[in-house]
Amino acid sequence: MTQQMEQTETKSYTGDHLLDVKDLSVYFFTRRGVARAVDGVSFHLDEGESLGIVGESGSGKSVTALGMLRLVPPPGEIVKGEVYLEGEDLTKLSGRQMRKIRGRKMSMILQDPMTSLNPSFAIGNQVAESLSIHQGLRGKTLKNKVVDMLKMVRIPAAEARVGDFPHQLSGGMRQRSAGAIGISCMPKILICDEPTTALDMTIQAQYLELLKDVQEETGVAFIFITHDMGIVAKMCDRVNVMYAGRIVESGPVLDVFRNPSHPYTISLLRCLPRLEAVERLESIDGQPPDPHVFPSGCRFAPRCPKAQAICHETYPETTVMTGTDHLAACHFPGDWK
Amino acid sequence: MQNRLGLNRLLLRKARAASVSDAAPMQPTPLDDAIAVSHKRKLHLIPIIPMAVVGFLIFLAIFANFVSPHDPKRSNLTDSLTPPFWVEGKVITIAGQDRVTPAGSMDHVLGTDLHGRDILSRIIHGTRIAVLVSGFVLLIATTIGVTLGVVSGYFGGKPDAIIMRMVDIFLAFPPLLIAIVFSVVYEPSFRNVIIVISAFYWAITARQVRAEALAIKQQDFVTLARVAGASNLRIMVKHILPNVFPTVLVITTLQVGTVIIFEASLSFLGVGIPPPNPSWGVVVSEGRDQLQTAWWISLFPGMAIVIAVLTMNTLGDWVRDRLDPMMQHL
Repeated sequence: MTQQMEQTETKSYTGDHLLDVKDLSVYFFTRRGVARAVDGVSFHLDEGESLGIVGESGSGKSVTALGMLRLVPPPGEIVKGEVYLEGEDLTKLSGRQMRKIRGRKMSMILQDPMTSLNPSFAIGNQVAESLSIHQGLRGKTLKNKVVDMLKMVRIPAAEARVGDFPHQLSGGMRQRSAGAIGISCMPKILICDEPTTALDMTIQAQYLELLKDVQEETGVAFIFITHDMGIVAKMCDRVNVMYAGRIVESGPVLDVFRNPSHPYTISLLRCLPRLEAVERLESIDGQPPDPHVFPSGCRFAPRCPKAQAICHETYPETTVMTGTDHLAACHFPGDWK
Repeated sequence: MQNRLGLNRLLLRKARAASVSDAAPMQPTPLDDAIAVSHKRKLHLIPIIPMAVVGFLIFLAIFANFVSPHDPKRSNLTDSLTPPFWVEGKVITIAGQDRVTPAGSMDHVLGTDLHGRDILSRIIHGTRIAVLVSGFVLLIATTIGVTLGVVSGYFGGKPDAIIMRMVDIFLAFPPLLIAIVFSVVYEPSFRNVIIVISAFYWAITARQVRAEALAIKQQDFVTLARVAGASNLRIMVKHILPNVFPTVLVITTLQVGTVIIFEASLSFLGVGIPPPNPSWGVVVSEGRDQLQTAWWISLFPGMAIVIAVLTMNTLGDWVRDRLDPMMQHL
């Protein structure tokens, strides 16, 4: 799968990508055995682009992100693969070099605004942390920069809000402050791990708009980790669909949405509520497989309505679908509806 | 907290009801009154008496030399066993002979001991020892305990295992026994008392702080600090430490009382502050033999211990309530 994917990638992209993840595998060595949370994932990201990673809980989305930052918590380990950021392999860097990458080139926003801010410090100080680590700013310049950042995330009366503590802010404001921390050092890549899950619908839309504006202003590339196909459609240029630690389908958002080729993607899209549909919401039968004991063939086969004998035996090769960049890992991609 | 809120709400409701029933506008409105009452209640939450007592004890400790009426170590056998000022001399018959016991005088307000040393002066100087011992012990124990606790909780794994086994070992020894052995091997001294007590208390603090640090490091802001490129040291100092601080403050204030008792017990047993230094425990033990005739020698330092410990416990409870995470945002 991965080989073919790499080949097509090098064909369709002439220059080096901003971020190039190759065959990344993160295993967790637990008492029950080895959990293959991320198992040979390859994708790339260009400057100013937005990439969505969708999948169910436990499909390895977040671990992929942590793997890229080399922050996988023990007993997890990156067992194989490379992560090239601007041509530099992050997996070979020392801890000290890696710290210089984090925050400055790659940053992150997490799901829960309640816990992603330190309750003991004013938000201004927290936005300042990354700036003082990486840019060595102090005093007045630092404060001005912090206020600029808070303004960028549309915090009203930013000068007055700098000294506010997290508990004095609303959920939306907190998440925006977290965003300000994420982009404070103008990273090349901002990973958003379900950034809107904890916000209510109106604030969600507002926050996504804000992220788009920030992208326009700074040219940052986004990786959206989400299980919400709606957010992907709204925000992303390309999408990777992950299932059981592997990417099962990837491609430009429009292609994938119009012409979903992997049965899992199709099922996911069918699970979306639609206004015009009156029938019951669909769901995918069964549970995602246990990462300790993945099925030997296609990992979706046990839940796949179209699974054949071959699906249970061998993992499918990646097939190129519409265009050059739309790939699906399925024995019978797209030929059923 | 629940109670307070409930009460305020009740007051407000009453106030509103009153303002509805009264047609004429009132000056000031009942609502203002209700708010004023709630403010008053808030002020009352600060424990004024314990604060004052602690302030007084610290004052005594600092100015013991000026405040105390006599030299606490100077004996004067002519004044031996003078009772407190309100006790009058009485006639007792010993072996067929009538004797008049000495009467109390304002010169020795709380009486004297067998050697004629002034009890009040000894208690005042004892305050200094109690404050110094608990201050030093908590400074040392908290510093060591917090450092090791944060390291242990944050890193986990081997450092955690090593530090926590050390804690277990230190807590496994009966502290009094260790203190006695220690005082046999080394001369009892002020320094040794502090070492012995600290050796016990750091372990308690370390264990609590570790538990707290474990919970804090799971929080997203620690992950985000790591994403932002912060080093382990920076995360521990800037993100873990400030958040364990409330817990540390509570443990420390609640421990002051027990440290005072611990020191007094050691001194009482003769393995703490060496006599003739007037530690409260020493004074209590000196009065033990005369308990039936000269009760004042042991009673008054005993009361000093009770007051000091009670005060610190009240204060500790208040600090704990104030810093309770549920109340933090109010």
